[in-house]
Amino acid sequence: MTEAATLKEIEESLYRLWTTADARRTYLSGQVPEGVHQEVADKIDPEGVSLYSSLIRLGQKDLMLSIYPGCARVIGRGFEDLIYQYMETFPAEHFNFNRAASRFSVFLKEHCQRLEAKFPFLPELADYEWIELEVLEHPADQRCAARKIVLSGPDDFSEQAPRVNPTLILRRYQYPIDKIVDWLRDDVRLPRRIKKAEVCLAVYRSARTSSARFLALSPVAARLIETATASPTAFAELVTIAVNENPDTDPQNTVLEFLELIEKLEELELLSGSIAL
Amino acid sequence: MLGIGLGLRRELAPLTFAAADRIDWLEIVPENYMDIGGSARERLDEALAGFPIVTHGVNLSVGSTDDLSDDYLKSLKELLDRIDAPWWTDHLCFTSVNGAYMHDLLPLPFSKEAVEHVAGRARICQERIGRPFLLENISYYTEIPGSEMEEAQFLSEVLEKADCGLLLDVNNVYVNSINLNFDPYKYLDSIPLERVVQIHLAGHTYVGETIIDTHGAPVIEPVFELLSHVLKRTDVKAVMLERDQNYPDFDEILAELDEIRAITRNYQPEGTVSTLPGDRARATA
Repeated sequence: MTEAATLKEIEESLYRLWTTADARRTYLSGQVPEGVHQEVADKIDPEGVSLYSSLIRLGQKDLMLSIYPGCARVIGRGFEDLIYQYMETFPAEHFNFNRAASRFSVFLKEHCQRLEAKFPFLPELADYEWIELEVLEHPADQRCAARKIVLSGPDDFSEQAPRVNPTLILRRYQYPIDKIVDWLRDDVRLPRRIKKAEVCLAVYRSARTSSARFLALSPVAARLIETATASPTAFAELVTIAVNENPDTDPQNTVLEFLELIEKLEELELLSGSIAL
Repeated sequence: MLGIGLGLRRELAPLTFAAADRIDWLEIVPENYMDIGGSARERLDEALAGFPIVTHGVNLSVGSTDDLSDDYLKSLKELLDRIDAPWWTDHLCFTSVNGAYMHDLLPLPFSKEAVEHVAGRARICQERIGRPFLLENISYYTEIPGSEMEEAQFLSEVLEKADCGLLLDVNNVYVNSINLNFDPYKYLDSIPLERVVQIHLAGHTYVGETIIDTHGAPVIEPVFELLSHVLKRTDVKAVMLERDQNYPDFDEILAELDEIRAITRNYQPEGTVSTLPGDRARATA
C-alpha cells in the first residue's frame, strides 16, 4: 500500500507536474516522475494535470508578451516555447507577477547561445524592455513639487544641485537599443545585421504622463548624470567635470553647452528641479 | 456596510470613476499596488477619493507549506492602512511551493492536515494585519489527491478554526458544481453562511466540457439564483461583480450592477447593503 502523502509532498508533486514539461511527459506516459509522490501520481486526473499546466502557461505567456513585445517580435514563433523554458529555468520568486519576467535577459544570455548568435542584441533588448517596466512601477512618488532650476548667479551654481528623476536607470549597451526599439515600435523591418554601436540610455518615468521615456546620452552627459545620481552635486562641480571632460574645447563654450544641456534635461524631465545644498 | 461594488481594473478605471453614482465601493488586487508608484498609485489615489476600497489578494498563499512571506504581509499591511480597508480578502488555495510562485490559484487537498495548516496561518495573518480577514472559496477543476472530506466541509472547518469571514464566490460554487458534479444548493446549505461578509459574482466560459472561471462573460441566471438563495438566509455587507477580460460596453457592466442591486434589495434588510449612492457616506462612517 502506498504511504499517504503529506500536504507538503502533495504541493511539491503538483508543482512538478504543473510546471515542469519533463515531469508531465513522464507522468502522462504512465511513469512516476522524480519529485512526484506515488499517491499523487496514482490519484491525480491526467486531464487535470494538463488543464492546470495550460492555465499556468497561459498566464506566463500573457505576462511575457506584455513585457517583451520587442523580443517576441524578433524571436517570432519560437517565443512561446522559449517563455516556458525560461519560466522553468527561473521560476517566479516574488508575489508581484511582473517580477517573474525580470531575469529573461539573463536567461537569453546564459541559455540561448544559438538565438544570441542570430540576434546578438537580444539580451540587451530584453534588458531594456524589463527596465522600462521597472521605471513604470518604481515606487518613487514624483508628485512633490521641486523648485525649477534657476542658475542666474555664481551662488546658484555652488549652493544648488540638480534633482535627478528618482526613477532613472542608466544603461550602457553595446548595440543601438534606442534605434532598435524605435524600429520595432514603428513596425520597421530590422536590418539583416545590426552592428555594435555603444549607447548610454537613460530610462525614466515622466512625472507628467507616468509613461516610460528613454534618452540616448552623450558620454559627457552620462558622466554628469551618473555623478549627480550618486549624490547631490553642485552645479559648479558638474561644470568643472564637463570642462575637464572636454579639454580641447573653449571652457566658455563648454559652460554654455552645459547650461543648454541642463535646460534640455529638465524639459525632458530627466532632471526635476534643483535642491539646496 | 459597503453595498454593491466592482473590481477596479486599469482598462476600465476612468469609466469606473465616472460612474460613482452607480458603484458603492471598489475592490483592488493589492499585488498590483504594493510598493508600486506611477500610474498605479495615481489610479489608487483617484479611487480612494471617491470610493471605499477592499483588497482581494492573489498571493498570500495561505495554503502553502512555505513560510509566510514577511515582505508580503508588511507591504500588504501598509497598503491596507493607507486605504483604511474595512476588511481584506484572499483565496483558500496555495500559489507557491518552495519559494516559487505559480501565479495561479491552486486547490488544496481537502484534508485534516490542510484544515489545521490553513487555519493556523489564517489566524496569524489576521493578527499581523490587524483587520478582519475573509477567505474565498476558489474554483477548481480536478480532485486533489489526499482529500478526506467534501469541499463544503473543508471550507467550513477552515473558517471555524481560523475564526475568519467568508468571501463567498457564488460563481465558483456554480462552476465547481457543474465541473465536479454536486448540488450547489446543498453546498450552500452546509457551509456557515453567517460568516459571509462579502459575495463575489462573475461570468465564466466553457472550454470543451469544462467551465473555466474566466470573469470574462456576464453573470448567468443560475448564478443569480444562487445569490438569492444566500441573501435569503444571511445578511451580507457587500456584493461585488468581477469582470477581468473580454470587456463589454461599460453600460452593460453598470446594468449588471443594477440587476445585482435589485436582487439584493429584495432580500436584505434596509441598511444592511447600501442600495443608493447616498448611502455611501453612511457606509464609510
